[in-house]
Amino acid sequence: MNGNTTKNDDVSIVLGGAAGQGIQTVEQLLVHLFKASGYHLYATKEYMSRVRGGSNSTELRVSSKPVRAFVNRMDFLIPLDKDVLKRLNSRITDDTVIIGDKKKLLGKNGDESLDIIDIPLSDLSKEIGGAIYSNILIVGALTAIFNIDQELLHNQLQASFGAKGEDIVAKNIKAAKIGYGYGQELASTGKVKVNVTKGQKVEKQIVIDGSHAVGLGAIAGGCNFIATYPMSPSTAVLTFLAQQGERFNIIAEQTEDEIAGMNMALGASYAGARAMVTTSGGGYALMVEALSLAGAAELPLVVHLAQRPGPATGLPTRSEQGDLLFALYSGHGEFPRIIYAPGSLLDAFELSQKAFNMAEKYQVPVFLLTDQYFVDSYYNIPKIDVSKYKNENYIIKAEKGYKRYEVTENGVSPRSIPGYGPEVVIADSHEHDEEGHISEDHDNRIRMVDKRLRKQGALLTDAIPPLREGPDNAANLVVCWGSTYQIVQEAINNLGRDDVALLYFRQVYPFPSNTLDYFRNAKNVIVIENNATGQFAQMLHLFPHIEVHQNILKYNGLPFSVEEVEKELNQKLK
Amino acid sequence: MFDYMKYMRQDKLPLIWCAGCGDGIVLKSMLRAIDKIGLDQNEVCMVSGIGCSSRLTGYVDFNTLHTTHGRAIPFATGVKMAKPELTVIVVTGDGDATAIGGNHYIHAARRNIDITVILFNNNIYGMTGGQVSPTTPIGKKASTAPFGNPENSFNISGLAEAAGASFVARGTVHDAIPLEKYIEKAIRKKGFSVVEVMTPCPTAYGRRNKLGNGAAMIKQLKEDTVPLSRAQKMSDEELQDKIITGVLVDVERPEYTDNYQKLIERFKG
Repeated sequence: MNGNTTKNDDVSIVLGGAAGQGIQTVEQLLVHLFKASGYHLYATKEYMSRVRGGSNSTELRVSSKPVRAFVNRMDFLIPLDKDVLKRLNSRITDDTVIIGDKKKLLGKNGDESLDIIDIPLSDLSKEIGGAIYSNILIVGALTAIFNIDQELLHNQLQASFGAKGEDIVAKNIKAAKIGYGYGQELASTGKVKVNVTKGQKVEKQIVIDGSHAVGLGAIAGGCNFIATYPMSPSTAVLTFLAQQGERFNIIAEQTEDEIAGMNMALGASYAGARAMVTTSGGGYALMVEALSLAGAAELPLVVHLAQRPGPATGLPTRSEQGDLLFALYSGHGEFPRIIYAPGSLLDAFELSQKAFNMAEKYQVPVFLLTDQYFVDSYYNIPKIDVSKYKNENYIIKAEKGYKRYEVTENGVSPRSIPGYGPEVVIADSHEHDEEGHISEDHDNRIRMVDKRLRKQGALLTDAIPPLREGPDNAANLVVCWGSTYQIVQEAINNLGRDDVALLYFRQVYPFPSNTLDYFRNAKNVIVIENNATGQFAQMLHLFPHIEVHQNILKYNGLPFSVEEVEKELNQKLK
Repeated sequence: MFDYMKYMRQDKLPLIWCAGCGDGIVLKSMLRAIDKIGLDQNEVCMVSGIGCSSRLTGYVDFNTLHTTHGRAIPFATGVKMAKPELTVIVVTGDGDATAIGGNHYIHAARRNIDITVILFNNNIYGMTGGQVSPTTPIGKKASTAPFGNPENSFNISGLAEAAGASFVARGTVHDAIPLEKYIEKAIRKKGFSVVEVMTPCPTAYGRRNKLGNGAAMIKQLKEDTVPLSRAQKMSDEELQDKIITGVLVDVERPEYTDNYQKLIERFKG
């Protein structure tokens, strides 16, 4: 019960409220403060598709060691309104410490069985200058509980609110101090206690989310052109690259629709830019026609596809891994492609960087498959040494006699761009001959189809093998791909069994030639996916011919929690 | 007092719109116009796309369709062709109708199909976090134009006129009474009708461009408004950055479902 609660060294804090109440401001402040204080942290959010109102929440994990996955457990719950209590009710346990405005939360007909540690946020914030200061009162209290340097907090408030004037800064600092007082009292009376230790190393690390990891990887990969139409949850990559445009010479264009976005990106690619689009399911549906043009004209292109639940508008702000087969089969006609699905922030950075190079090297579209959960999750990682990542240039001068679609052994034709060298560079969406001219010759057609498809084999030399963790001879093999990786990893670690191994695919297509080797000793293959039909399991069956024994699927619009995976595995492990 | 609740799905309230948003003023003007015409609720079919304004169809008690982004007009065209006796009203925004749905917008005007489009122009993508729209004025900031929008913006009423619409009017949420009249005329008009409504988005546009709260932005609308009769006597320079309001187009042109019916009758012999 709440009376005397000592928390361990991995604490989960859930903040909830309506859109517009400032949960995001609190999240950003706390992420910065925890990191700067040397705590490992992780944050993820779930939100409704609306600008105001509704009920949203953010989960922050503060820990002595790295934490990188969503947990169902709520050690602290900080509800800013009644709706949060109602909506998150199933996650409240006897061990959940609820801190909030008791009067406001319980109201007339509140659940009296809930033990709430009272901070009279409404009254206090009104005195300070308005309801919005409730947030900073909470931040102040949490900094006391987590022993965060107050100067750090005040400096951060100055930095966050300085542009709004000294008066606003002063009110925020006042709110922080009052909140701190409440937090200190809670801590000193032993009502709440946490046991998380600080480390020097974390301070120097960076905190990014999935969108930034993809965006930074794109910059490292030489991306200099993005044209797209906004669509949740993919837009943050466009916003980020637009903001960075000045520093890194990136053209960022918000187009009239996704059809235009994709065609613009292909035009830029033809002209020599390293181009990308960022979109989600419905937007990608509009881009599919142009993807086929990329296939025919053999234009390099990177597609960041941040998945959300469909069909149609579906759940615009929720998460699902439902568009894997869509990405695989999208575009009319037969042509090669690569699909990456990062499961960690570092992987997102590395795969994004690599995607641009693979697109250039093989002149194919390369997909980065993420989802809402992945792009909206943050944690601290060591600074990335960008000098480690090299970009290769595959563009050659078009000398006299240059043939854009020259038939070669591995199918990759030397690529030039218009204006580079004395010869012209031709591209056509029709079937074409080696020079790029329209051709209806049937023998030529076979040569060209074969040439393009040979690239699918050639690019296997650069395939990224799956990552296997756990004993070699484990009878149970748990397979996952993309965003579920670190959730499944933590669940398996918690189980602590010596007969379970994890296999994480970050290149989901094409499968590396030695994929079968990873499955050799497995008697019980379990595939975990955030979709309803087991799409990756279907691919495992179809391509490397792997027998999948069991599936763990989730498709209610939310990511898996560590606890859920543990529970499911307990039932399915042999 | 006008009984708005007669037309509302009361169990769906409150509205999601932010404080200071003008969309509620458009909603009320539209309901008064519909009431004045005396349309039965079941004779009206309201179609919307995606965005803040498009959420309107969730709150009103007509036949409503909340479609995908940009596709309200083609969807509504299908409804009107299948059941021409329905009064079809499209509720859409500047991004929905003139960015992703721009092609549909001009082609519906060209066909001159008897649909009324109430186009909420707030110069921004509100719902998705303030991205630039085709009507964001040049130089103004948006989340995807952090250094200021380098592009020229659309005159979306002019676009409808050039594409062949029978009726085009522009109003603002500052002047709700004329707005109601424009909507009434637009619905009564046989042919493609557009009412462009200038409405403020303090949350995603005003705040980023330091234009003040909703009230300040509505006041600014008043100051920028020039009625058509006065605008006709003003020079282009004087009309720079002004909002010309009034009935801009009201002409008789053959309507699409009529033409189609004639075609059917001709071949029936």
